[in-house]
Amino acid sequence: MRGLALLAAVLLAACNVPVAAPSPTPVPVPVEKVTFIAGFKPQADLPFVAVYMAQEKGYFRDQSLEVEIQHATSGEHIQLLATNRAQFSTGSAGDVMKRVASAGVPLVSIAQIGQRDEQSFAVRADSPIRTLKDWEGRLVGYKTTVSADYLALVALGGIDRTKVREVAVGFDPRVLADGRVDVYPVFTANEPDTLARLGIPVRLFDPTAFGVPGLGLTLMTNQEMLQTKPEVVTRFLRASLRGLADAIADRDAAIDVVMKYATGEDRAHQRYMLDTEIEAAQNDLTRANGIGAMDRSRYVALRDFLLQYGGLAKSVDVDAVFTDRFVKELYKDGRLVWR
Amino acid sequence: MTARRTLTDLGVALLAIAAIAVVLEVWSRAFQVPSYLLPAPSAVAARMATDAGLLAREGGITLSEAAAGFVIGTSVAFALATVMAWSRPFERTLFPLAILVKLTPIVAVAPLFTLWFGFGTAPKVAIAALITFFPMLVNSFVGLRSADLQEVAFLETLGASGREIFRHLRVPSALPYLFSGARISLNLALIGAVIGEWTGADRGLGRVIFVANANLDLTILFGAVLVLAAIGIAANALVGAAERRVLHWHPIAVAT
Repeated sequence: MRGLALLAAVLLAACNVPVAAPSPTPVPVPVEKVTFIAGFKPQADLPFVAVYMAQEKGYFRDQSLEVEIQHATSGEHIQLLATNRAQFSTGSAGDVMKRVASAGVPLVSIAQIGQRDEQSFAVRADSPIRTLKDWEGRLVGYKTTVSADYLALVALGGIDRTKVREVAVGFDPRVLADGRVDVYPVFTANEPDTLARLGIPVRLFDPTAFGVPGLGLTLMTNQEMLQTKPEVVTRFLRASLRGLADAIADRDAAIDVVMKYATGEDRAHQRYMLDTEIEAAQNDLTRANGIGAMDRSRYVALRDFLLQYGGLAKSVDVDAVFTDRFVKELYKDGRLVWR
Repeated sequence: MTARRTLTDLGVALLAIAAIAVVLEVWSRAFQVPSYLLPAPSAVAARMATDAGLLAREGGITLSEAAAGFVIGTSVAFALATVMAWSRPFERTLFPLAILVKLTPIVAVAPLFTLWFGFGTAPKVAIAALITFFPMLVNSFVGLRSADLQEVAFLETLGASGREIFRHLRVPSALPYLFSGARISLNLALIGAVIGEWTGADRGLGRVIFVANANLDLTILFGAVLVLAAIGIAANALVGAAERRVLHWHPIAVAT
């Protein structure tokens, strides 16, 4: 009987006759237009890749979303997100806290992609600097301002800070290659590879390895979206996390997609970045709860750490800067539920 | 008379600034614009008062870098313009190079200056010099070439040497152009110093602006911008005063 019904359906389909759906058609969800602005230029930063993949594979469309992808050039994504000109963006958990604490910017992290500090301190591989204490008497760079990470390492390593010469070095790793500084703060996901390509292999002092409670990049939205369109946030995150899962499953395919956005970039370098960030996105928490999982205690630890080392102007309610309700809703037993 | 006119000009400019500030103040209060988008002028003024020492100190550093860059850049430009005005082959050789310098995006090459000159003052001065170079080169060149040919011929008939003609005719003829180039270059020197401070500096108004932007601290950002503008206005006023004094015989001195 079932075979006959199937045959009839096939024949009707072949004759181009509409076939009744086996179940009632769900009420179509109106398409929502949203803008995602990546926090930097196009590259294989994992949250960017998640969105690129979701766009490429049509996951946003499946979620009734029309997503415009933009890229920030000089930090303007924060203001655009705060004013809801963009609805989704990326930023490190620490940066989100700083913005909320110092200026009351209404940002909220909705998925913790990077599960560890995104910065390290690099020395040349042939440098005599082996321990934190060896930083004394050396020239140590900082990118914008002296970071809480650095101050924590100074404390943990028992470094006499008066014996360290600190210098603002901006964002050009060539100052380490050129020997102008002895210790250079790097974004772990890409700058060690950049330096290696310049013929300067490096060793890293990773704050996470010293117990500094850093967290990496998050996907974030604004309070307005959270309050007025939580279902859009859910759909965006669902599609993005599925894109992310695809990227992890097939990294070559993910890089193919990245290169469509990151024209002119070096493919091997992008692959290095992707591999590094995928590794940093996984830990026991995510293995149990899925990529992007969030842990309140880690946010509290991060806040307290930043407060201790001057990274925050004032304390902030961690429940105002992150929410794990979406990630929790989207995963069941550590697997993303697609609907 | 001149002092009175300067004061009047200053008064008008201050009135215009005050009017804009009032509009922005009303706007920001009426629409409750968050400070990370547009701080109220009163908040900027309060911050400037609080951090007056910092702004003065950092402004002084930026000014010194800009001044050094201005002197070096304009001096080199004038020297090269002299050579170009004197020799057509030099003109054909050097002018394309000068255009290359002009078209080089300073922001793109600024980090290289840190690599070449280190983290100190030198890269900021070099960028300020580079950015001031072209306007002064063009103005100097055109100015030196603007000498009346009949007057040149007349001096030659009197037996004047090339050096004498340069000193007593070409340079005076070029002065209005030189002052014009100086006005443009002064402001560019300030911008060049600020750009230099964005890439590997721990002092200066550019550094203040860079950090403020990273922290969304727009009150101190606008405070630094206003100090920079004040320095630029003061520098322009100085050049204007010098121009009126040196070119008192020239119609341009009356017009400015």
